[in-house]
Amino acid sequence: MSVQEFPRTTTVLNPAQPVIKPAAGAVSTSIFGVETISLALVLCVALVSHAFNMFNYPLYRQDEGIVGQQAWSFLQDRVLSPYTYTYEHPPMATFMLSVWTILTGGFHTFGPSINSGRVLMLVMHLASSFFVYRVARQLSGSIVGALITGLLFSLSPLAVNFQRLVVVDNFMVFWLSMSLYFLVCNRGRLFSFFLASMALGLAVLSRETALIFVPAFMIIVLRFSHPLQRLYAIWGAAIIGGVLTLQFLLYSVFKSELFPDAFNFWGELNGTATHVSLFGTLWQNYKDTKPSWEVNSSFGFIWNFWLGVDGILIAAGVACMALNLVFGFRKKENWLVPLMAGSYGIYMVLGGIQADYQVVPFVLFLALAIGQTVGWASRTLGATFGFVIAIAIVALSAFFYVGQNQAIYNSDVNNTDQQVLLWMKGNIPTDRIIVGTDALWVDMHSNYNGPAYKLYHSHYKADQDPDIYAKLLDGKFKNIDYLVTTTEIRKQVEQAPGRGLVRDGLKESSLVRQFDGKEDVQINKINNLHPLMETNVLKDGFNFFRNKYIAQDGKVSDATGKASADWQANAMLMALWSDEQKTFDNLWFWTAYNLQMDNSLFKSDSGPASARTRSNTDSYTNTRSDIDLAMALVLGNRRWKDTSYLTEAKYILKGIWDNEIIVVNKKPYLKATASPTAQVDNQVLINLGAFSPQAFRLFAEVDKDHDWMALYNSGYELLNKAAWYGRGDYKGLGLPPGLMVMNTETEELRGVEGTFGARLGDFDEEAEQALWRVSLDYRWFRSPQAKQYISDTGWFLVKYWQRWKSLAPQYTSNGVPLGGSPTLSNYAVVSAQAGILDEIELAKKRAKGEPAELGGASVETEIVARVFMGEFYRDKGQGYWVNQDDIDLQQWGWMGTALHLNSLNLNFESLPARPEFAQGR
Amino acid sequence: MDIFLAALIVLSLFLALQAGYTLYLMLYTWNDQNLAEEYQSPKVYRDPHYSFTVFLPAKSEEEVIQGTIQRALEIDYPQDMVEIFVILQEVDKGTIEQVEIKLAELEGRGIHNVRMLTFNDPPFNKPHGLNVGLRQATKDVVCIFDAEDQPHKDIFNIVNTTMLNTGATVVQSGVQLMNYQSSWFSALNVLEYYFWFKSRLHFQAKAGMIPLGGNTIFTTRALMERIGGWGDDMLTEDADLGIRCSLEGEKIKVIYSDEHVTKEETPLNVTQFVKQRTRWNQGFLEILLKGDWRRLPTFYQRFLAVYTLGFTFFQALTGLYFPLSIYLMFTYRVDPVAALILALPFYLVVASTIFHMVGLVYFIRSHNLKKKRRALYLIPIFYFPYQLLLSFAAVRAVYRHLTNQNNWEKTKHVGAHLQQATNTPASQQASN
Repeated sequence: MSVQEFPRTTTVLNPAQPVIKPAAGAVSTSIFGVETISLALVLCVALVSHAFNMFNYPLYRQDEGIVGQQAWSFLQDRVLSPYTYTYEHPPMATFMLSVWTILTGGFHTFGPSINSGRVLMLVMHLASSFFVYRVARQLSGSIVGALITGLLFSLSPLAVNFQRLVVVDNFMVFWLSMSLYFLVCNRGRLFSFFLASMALGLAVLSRETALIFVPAFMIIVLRFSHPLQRLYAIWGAAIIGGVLTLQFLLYSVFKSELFPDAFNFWGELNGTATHVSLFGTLWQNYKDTKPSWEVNSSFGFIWNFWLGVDGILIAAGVACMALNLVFGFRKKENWLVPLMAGSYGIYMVLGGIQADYQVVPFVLFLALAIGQTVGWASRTLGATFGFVIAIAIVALSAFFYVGQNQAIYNSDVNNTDQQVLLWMKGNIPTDRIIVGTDALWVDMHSNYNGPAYKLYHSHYKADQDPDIYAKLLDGKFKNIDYLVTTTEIRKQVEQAPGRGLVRDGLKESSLVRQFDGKEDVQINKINNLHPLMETNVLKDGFNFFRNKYIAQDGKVSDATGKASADWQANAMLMALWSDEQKTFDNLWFWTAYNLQMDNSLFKSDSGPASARTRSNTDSYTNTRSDIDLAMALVLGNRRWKDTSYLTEAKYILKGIWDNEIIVVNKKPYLKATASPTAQVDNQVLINLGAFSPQAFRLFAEVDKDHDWMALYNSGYELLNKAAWYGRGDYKGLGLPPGLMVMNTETEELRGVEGTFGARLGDFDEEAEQALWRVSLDYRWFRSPQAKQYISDTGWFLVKYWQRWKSLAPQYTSNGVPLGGSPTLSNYAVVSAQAGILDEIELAKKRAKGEPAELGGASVETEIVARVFMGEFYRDKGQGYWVNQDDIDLQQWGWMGTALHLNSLNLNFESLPARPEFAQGR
Repeated sequence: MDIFLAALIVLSLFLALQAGYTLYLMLYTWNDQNLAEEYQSPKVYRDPHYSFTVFLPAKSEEEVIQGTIQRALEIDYPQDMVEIFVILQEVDKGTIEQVEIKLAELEGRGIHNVRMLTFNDPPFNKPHGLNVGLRQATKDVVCIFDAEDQPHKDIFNIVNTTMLNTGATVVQSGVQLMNYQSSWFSALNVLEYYFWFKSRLHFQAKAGMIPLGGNTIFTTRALMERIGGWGDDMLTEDADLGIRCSLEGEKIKVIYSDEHVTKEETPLNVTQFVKQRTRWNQGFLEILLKGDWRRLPTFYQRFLAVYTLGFTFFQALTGLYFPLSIYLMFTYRVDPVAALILALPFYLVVASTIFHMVGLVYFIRSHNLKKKRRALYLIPIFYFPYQLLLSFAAVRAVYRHLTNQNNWEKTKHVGAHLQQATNTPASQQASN
């Protein structure tokens, strides 16, 4: 055997002779500096052009809100949508935004929730810019080409304007650019093709449109892979991309939502489908698609819009693609962009384009094509020429793109949305059903800038989702409270009304507020209140009050057993407006037997071991309680047509005139009490809190024996006087005291502890009582005196609320807040007065022919939302305000809420016959 | 979510990760074409520098032993730099007789570098025989060919060049089963070797934790003497040798070129296959429990050691999980997202099946074998039964280990790969 017979293909070397290996992956280091600077420049431009003013421009889109609401829903409830998930788009964007939200500490780290998404888009754009730069560098073989591509991709208004948007298409572009990067910059790695395929799969899971790129992608894998790994590359790419895409399909399979029931695809269109389905939605979308050659196709309109925004880029990009192909037909690098762009072009022509922002993938390919051509020119004509081109294009880009599109960088079009949000959170109670723009969905559902509104719903879903239009709204727009619509929404609901709830609601509503901006936003209130929510608040509140505080015999007492005429009177009024006659009777009987004296008036309180002391006429009465009890009986007669109430009331009215009124200079005034202690010589203790003009008007109707309107007029006169008393220059705040002393000869006033002629005492709870009654006088009788008084004096407390969002229990006469027990009477008074002030202001504007809008947030609804609704705690048909152990809080919580809900009215005749009404409640 | 579902999800994720990692190891060499070329046998040979002692351990191989000796002799290398030891037990009279006939023939042809070594002291197994050979060896490098092997005639030049170029003291050359259509499982068995030697061993060598193969393994005699030869109480002395060399920090080079592989045959039938696989699994388990791997310097090396040696357990687990997964598929309703997660291992099985099919195409192409589409289409059909067979062998290995059954179950050889109809020069040579 010959041991030296080596195969002919081999060469024998001496052991000492080294083997020279070719350097693998050698990179020229001479351009390293330029390369780094070029890439850094592209990334800096990408950062600045996208970040600058991105929160203010472009306009928050509804589609951005939808991505946000889905992420919100995923994080809160682990479901893909707060509504029925319709398979409209795959959920990748939802997952990404959810993760981003967790990483950045919530939806509102950057302000409104859409801003958070926009920061994510910025990060993704930076990554995309890197990928696109590297792809262009590889395809063009030129730094200049890569630089141009990177700049166009970041500076074209088509890119900046739309890539800032948090829309699923932009998530797709991110994954698509990553896929191209792994495809092209793979350095012969098999796993790069797998990663490219994975990225494309994620692009499909971001936006199903990416499926259009699959054939082109596979051809590119075939062309770019090494022959020894080609089969693995192709099959691996097919498996990875296929499996990822399959997940969306499988999800619908596992939910039994792949096909419509009984393959009834038409059910999706005519609204008879029993459940959503993936193919049903695809079918619906297909039916809605109009190819570019059809009349009314959206393509023509959008295409012309794009040409208007950056026709140069489009023309140059298409021309460069053609040039690259013609002059570089044999090079695989020149096929990539036309293949991908052609795929997208087919999609566009077939009618896939529904929104202007879908231009972004096209921009990517146009920029790459131009970069390739410039790269070719640069390589052909030399580095100097390339440098000149680069400088020229950078300068021209900066001049045209930045100079001609300054709105992108300096206008604020999103301020309106924030005004709308603040207004709603300040004016609308949280338990209202609001239907509006998706752009505000997350901000409304979160505690951002105010309380959360769990009943804020997408206008689209209100018309499309059975869970909303059928289950929540019972198919009736009347069950919506407010509509928040943009110009676009109003146009949409006219063109495609769906169930028509929003469209009809807009017709049957009043414009509450309009915000002008790039898109006008209108807030409309449907012309009815939400019956379920409102009656239940009062009903549950009274249920709790009755069960906790009213004994079987009709005594209202706290834990100590103490009772008072004040509590009894308020409880009777609550029972009256709750339409509970039995409770009303019980309360009255206990009051009559335990507190009423021989003079028909009532002891102000009983003490824990009260005995019947009818004969004790020296007992201290509370004029205010006496008036309230009489008013309750007069109203009881109105409601239940029981004249015995009126008889009892007349005894009390007589008792008031006989014991609690003093006539000074022929004008009657109310004393604070019937007790002799109220008058010493020529000085009498007056309680303004007992001034009840609304009751006096009622009493005047039923008691012709006394001049109640004289008391009415003198009362207003005294109130006006007391509000400004002792200041001389009349520069006070219009805050009257509760108690004061009057000289019965001169009608001079003094504080309880002060001297005549000086400022009076503090604005206290008794004074609030007077203002409450004045408000009722306006509400019930549209009293000019009431209107005038509130116009003159109501502003201070309203402004105080607007400044501090809370009210003090008492104030000095010059407006310094004072401490005291928590109370709701101040809130009830201020919300009532604020409502009246709003009404007066709107009436004035209407009279001048101006839009009926408020100059700011409605304090009335703000207080109701934050205090009466916000502090109402409800469980199983019972509810209480703030502190369940405080009777006063419950009574004033109930009264304040009831006045806002227009439940404290005299219109008993419109109520249904009593038994049915009671059962119905 | 109940605990059962949580456990299933964890198990699915674990299996998916494990399968993904296995796929990564399978395709490691294909991932990088530069790397793939680096792992090829050298194309340019250096002058013979190292001398070789060839061990041909045999037992009851009377049918093939003369051919084996002949093929070893046909390796191109200076005769004075090669010695060949046929190592037999004294009781193996039939094989001894055939070897004596062959030796007489060689003497007649003037070839004197082939010797027969016999031993009669226990343990009666391959590693002990190899140690007997090692004590007689005089050359620089010792290597092993099994009875049915068909080493390439350039293998010594390749190893000599590799050792000179790289400074490696251990060279593992590719071993390849060839008869991919002998039985229902042979294509998958062939592919196991294909992926193991062409891809995975490169990764393991680079990581510094490699279980060496049973033959076509070349080590310097000095190293073998230093580490005390083969562990003669081990069922898989080759893997044990690999771990010990790794521990020594020896430079281990794996080379694989399709044209230079040592060709072998698949087991004759399922029984033989299970016995062979049981022995390997049991051997790996033995090494794992022996614990030498704990002394490997890095965490990743230790992880790789456990993963490689403990793969028996993974296979056994998969085998046990399979019927359960089939049952659950039809009876257990879960949340759609959970169902998507539970399906993950399935996708990797599909990927693995398809990559095996692709691997078979490349295997057939690279060895210029006749294309048999049938074998390709049978892969998806038999992929799962084959995995079950592996699982069964794994369970059996664990059982045998637990019941202290450590006897050597020998695989029978008939030289099926030598009859493989091919059109390669090597195969033509073999069939002659």
